[in-house]
Amino acid sequence: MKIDVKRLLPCLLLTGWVATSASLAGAHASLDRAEPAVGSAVHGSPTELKLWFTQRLEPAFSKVQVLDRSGKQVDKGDPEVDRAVATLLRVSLPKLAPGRYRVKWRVLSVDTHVSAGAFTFDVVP
Amino acid sequence: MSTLFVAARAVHYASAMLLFGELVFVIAVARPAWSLARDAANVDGDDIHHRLLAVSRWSVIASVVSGASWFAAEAAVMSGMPVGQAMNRETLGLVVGDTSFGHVWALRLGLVITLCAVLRALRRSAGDLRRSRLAIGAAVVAAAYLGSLAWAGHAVAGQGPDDYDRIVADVAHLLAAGAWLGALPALVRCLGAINALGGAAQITRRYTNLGVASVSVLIASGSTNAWYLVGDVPALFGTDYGRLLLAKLGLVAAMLGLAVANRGTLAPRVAGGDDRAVRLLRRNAMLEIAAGIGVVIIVGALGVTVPATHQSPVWPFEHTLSWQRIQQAAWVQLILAAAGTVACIAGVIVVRAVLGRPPRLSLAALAGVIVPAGLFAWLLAVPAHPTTYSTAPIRYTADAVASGAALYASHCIACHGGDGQGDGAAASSLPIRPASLTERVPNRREGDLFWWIAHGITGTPMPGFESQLNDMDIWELIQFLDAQAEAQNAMAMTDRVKPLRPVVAPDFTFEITGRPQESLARQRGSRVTLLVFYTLPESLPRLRQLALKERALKAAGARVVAVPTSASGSAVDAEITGGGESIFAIASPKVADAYAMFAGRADRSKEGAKTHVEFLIDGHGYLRVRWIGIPEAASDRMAETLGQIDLLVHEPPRAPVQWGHRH
Repeated sequence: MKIDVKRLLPCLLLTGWVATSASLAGAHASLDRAEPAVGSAVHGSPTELKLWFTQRLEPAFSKVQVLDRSGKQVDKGDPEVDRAVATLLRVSLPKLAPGRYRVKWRVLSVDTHVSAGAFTFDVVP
Repeated sequence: MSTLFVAARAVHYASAMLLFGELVFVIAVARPAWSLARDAANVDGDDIHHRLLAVSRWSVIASVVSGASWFAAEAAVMSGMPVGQAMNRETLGLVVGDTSFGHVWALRLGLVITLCAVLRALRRSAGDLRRSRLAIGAAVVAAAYLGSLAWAGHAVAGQGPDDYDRIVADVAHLLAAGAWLGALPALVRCLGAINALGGAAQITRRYTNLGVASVSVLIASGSTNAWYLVGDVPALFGTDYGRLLLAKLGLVAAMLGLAVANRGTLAPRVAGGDDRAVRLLRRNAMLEIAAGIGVVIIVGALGVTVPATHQSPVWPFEHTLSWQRIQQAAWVQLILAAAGTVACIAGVIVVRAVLGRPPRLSLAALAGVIVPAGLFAWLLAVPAHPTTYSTAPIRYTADAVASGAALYASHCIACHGGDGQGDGAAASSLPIRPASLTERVPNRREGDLFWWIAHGITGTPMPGFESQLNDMDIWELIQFLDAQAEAQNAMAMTDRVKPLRPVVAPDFTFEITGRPQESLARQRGSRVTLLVFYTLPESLPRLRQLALKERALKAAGARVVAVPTSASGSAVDAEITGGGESIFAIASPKVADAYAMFAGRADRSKEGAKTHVEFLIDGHGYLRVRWIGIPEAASDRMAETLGQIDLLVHEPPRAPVQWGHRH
């Protein structure tokens, strides 16, 4: 069996490239962690809500709302994607009374995929 | 609505590939072939030149229309409004100005306008040199137009150096597909028009070379993009995205088969002067185009499907392959290694034979691949369920463990017993006694555990609980089972650092007055954590000592977090400070309950459950050292504590806790 080196070399190079690179076959931005944490109880009212995602976000179409038990929006209405960390979305909060609060988020990742979700956290005195 | 989006994407990909492919064909295949054939057979180069470029006009129109539709559909998706409503100045302005997609699309509009101008000049030009230069210029613009589609896709949203690999792979994939698939219609038209055999032979030879180069790049770049999925075969079979990808691969395989037949059998015959072979080649090329259209439609659909990595795969088969089965027997591993080697060698022989001219199929070599593969399948098959590859939607936290403990106490303890050893009150009446959970659970996939708890295990007395427990309940129960097994390992923990099997510390959130909420998981990587569960008033002396020495402990590399056990009446007076940071944390009572599981000694005494316990958690999130009870000699204990912290801080690094920490 003769081995044709001229043909083999590109194949080996390509195989090497494939073997050393790994990649994600498409992704949505999903919630990595939050402050206050998902489902947790916070002692004292937090000044802002921070959400970290798994993909970089487009600020123009990424939003988050914090609602109280009756469904009324209680956040200050200024959601923004952090300039330095494009995976961080934050919104500031006023003083919150003790109770359960619902967070609803909808974000657009840089790869044009939209994802949305919700969770609750409790404020305890 | 979604169908129209898919159609717009498919048409856009196809037209961009066609624009690039036609030009590549003119430059790399047709032009050189003509300059040889023209002299021999009076072929009218101009006429064919114009016919080839006429297609480009339609491609540009289709591309612009589909590109605009794609843009409109994308604006609707991004804004969440229906398409009609999204067509307002504000929304469109946001999309174009403020999104990465919008920027890329604006650039591409510029590119297609430029391409139009160059193609116009090319159509009107005369003279070989000028035409050749314009054609190359047009090809470069068309390549930019096609390749820039990579920025409208998944390659760009990640972070870090991996990004460049993915973008390069995507661009290479698009260009190679354009050169191969986009040039096929031109090949079909050319083979129909040129009667001179000399011309056909040249064109076939050149196109075949182009095809081989393109296919190599396609395979390499496609593999790069699918590398993540290869490590995750369940997603390939268990999600819509994965199955679409399999369909695409199937169609591409069919195209490759035709291409191999063309190269191996028909091309030599065309070169030898066989007229019929030219017609067959043309027919094969048309079949490839048909399959290629299917591929482009699937690519359009893939773009709007939820990617596999963010879905829990639903396994469709009754069995799956698992290395677990053969881990015990050495002889099985030897047989598999031998079988694997035989299969690899036979595989190489098969590929060489198929790529020969003409292609041959060696039955012996084929058997050499199939028989070992069958052996692998037979030896490695284990029963599987739809949820086998599901992942828990919750993490390993103290809250989940405590909730799971309550569920276990009400549903499982009767047969499985308090420690999961199968010694519950009802166990003796069962025909088959339950196995030890602490031995079995760590070696099973959590998806399998989910199925067994929900549906029971056939052939055993284990019933299904899906009527009594919802999905979240079952996942919490599984977190508890994990903790139960870890608690067994924790029995061997002592007051010294040992290289034993590490016990994962369940995560929890806590607050220290005046600071935002923190979690145990966030301490990882930075420092060792000294977690103190205290009771009042017995723990006060030790707590005072720790508060006073807080700075020294911090300098040694440790953070102290003191949490009240459920037995203590109230949180400690937070005025005990040593001038440093406060060590007193407020956390849910479930935290103390969960950690009480890890506070037992090997002699099965659970004395730590309601008394003072201290844990040292290393920088990777593992419980390493445990002190049960209140220290008698305060200064000795402090020296001991500092010593153990020092050992942990200077340990060689090891792999950190994975949240799906089994298998």
